[in-house]
Amino acid sequence: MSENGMTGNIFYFARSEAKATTSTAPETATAQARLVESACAGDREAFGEIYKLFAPTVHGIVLAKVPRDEADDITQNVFLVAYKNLHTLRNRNAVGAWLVTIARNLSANFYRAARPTEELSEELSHQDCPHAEAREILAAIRALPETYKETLILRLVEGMTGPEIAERTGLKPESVRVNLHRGMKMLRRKLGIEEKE
Amino acid sequence: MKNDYLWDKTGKDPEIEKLENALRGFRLQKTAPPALATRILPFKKEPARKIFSFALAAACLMFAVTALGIWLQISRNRTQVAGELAEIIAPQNNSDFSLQPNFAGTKDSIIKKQKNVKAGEAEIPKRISKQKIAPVGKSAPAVLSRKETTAKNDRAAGQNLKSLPQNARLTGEEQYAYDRLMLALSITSSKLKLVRDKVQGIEEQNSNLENGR
Repeated sequence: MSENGMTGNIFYFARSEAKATTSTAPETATAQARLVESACAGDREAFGEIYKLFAPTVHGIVLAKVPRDEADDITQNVFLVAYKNLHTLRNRNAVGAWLVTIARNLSANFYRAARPTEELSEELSHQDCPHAEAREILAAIRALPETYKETLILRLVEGMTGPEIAERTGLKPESVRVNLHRGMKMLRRKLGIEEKE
Repeated sequence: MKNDYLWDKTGKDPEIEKLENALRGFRLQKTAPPALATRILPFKKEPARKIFSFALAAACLMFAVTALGIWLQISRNRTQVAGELAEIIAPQNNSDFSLQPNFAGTKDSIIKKQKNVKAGEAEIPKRISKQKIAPVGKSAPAVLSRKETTAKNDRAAGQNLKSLPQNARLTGEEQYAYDRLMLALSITSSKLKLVRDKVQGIEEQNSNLENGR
């Protein structure tokens, strides 16, 4: 993906950041703000900490939209763009929501850019890929509504808990809980799993 | 309890655990951050200002050209009107007046104006007597050219013009020229407005970015 295409969305990033509902705990928010300030000052280790903290979240958001093979690269690109534009972040406590917005935009840009693709052979397509059942489950999750699929991927694929998802994405814990519960219900219906009470 | 496990992994839920195990292969593999640039280039604002200055210069040039055209047209019209007025008034007051028309007016338009002037005929001689329109005589030139029309004659002609009826002031050609001028002015003002809106939009974006810092 060209850098011009990435940096061209900077205005959208800055505007979208204001929409996120920040629900992080005060201590966490302060720690994140400190990391962002250090990274803005040029501290690469601080930015490395930001990456470790938010890479699974970004990867999960990207995986909800793009093919698995592209998700890792796009995740790296998200942080490259974030590093270049970190000085434009107005609310230092909302870095998670900001990164999520960049991830969504770059995932959308992935489909806008027309790419010639070649179909892999059966053998190659199964190399380094999880079992077929796993791919079916992932496809079923991707077919869910936007809010449910992102939350479920963060929970089931990236292994994050509900409070962690709320903290990293900037959503309210109540919203995350509702999304998880309703998303799981819809997923069970799609996969034909009976719901146990 | 199932809901608790889904929320914060407390308790047990075999179904969810099975899904987690199946999907674990899709988890993020690269744990190292991307290679970062050694130097970050500052955010550039100049292109917006270059666009702004170019647009402003283009708008100013367009406006200047239009204004020049309007000024030339008005001065031309004024001269024509003064010439027509002299042509209308002169035959009534002095038979020695034999000003030849030096503008693109027709006989019919002059006759029409003479008819329209009848109502104010009594006033005209008084005003004209104060004018210095050179009669055709021994020392005066036979043809009153545009160059010989002085500023005072223009003012006097303008004063008399006000006393004339409305429909005698502009000919068809003059009205057409006037309409075209108004149209050009309106087009220019709309383009200037577009440039102003665009510049304001760019300035707003720049101020938003500055606030983001």
